[in-house]
Amino acid sequence: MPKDDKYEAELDDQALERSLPTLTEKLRSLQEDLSEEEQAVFSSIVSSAALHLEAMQAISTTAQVSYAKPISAVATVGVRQHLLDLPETLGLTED
Amino acid sequence: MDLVAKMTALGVGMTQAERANYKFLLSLAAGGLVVDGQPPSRPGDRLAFTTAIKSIAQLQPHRHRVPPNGVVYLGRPAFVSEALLNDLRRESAELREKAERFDDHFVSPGGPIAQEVAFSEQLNDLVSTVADHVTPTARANYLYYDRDGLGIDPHIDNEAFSLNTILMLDHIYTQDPSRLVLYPPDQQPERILLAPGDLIVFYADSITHARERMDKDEVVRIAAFGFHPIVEAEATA
Repeated sequence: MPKDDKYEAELDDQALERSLPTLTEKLRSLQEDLSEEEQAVFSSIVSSAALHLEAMQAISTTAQVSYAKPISAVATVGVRQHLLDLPETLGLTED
Repeated sequence: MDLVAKMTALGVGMTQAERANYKFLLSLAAGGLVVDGQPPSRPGDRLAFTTAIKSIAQLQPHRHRVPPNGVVYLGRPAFVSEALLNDLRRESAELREKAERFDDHFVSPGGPIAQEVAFSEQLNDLVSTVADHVTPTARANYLYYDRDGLGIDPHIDNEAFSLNTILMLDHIYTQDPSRLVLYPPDQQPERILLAPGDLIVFYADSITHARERMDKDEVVRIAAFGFHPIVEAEATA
């Protein structure tokens, strides 16, 4: 059976990092359309992601990070930093 | 339109890379909100957790194919002989020293034996039978959880392992073994114990899942083979 490696090409580290500004704008646009109650849930999601990522980075003993592995819980330094900063970027504050 | 629908709709217009990062964000949130392996009990956190895992499941173009818990096969296939299992164990052991640590577990790309399994007619026939149109993604990895405390918090897999095929190579423990845990939307978490030789095929990009932390003296070694579902538009293109 032929392999399909197009996902590797389309989702390389550079492509993932390049997509962050436009993703952020889309999230900002979504946020603006949410009710107050929905915004609280959205805020919890974004903040929990950043806190979890921060905790995972504390666990990691090496700086070697890559997307080329089975779980998406690993990403480049650039992607990680962007997601760590996302609550602040979107003007979200923790409870 | 409820929040899950709004968050799902947002993903429709995204590029593949944007969607991958969006799923990563939601996956991180789910992992962060789980408390001791269980969905959070605080109402606000629980709603955020539920919203995240439901949105993840709904973001996939192949969502209509995904059963409630994401699992399409669980058992020991006939082609997983003791000889094959031992060959994979040997290769896995040989590659252990080259494995890299990723947060809280170790990973090595598969060697020739794992690659041969990944592209074997037997494995591809099995996955195609239970999941319809699929294509192997050229990814075959060995994962090692061989230290106290290693594991993986709730997460989803990336596009290369949309349909993840996990073969348990070894599970050594003295008591209360760790499990693979699935978090299907609107259901209680499912804790699955795989015996050596068991294979599970599940939609790992759709159903949030975790590997429970290793206890003292516990070791888990697995091989993972990636497949990607081909949706109808792709299949006929």
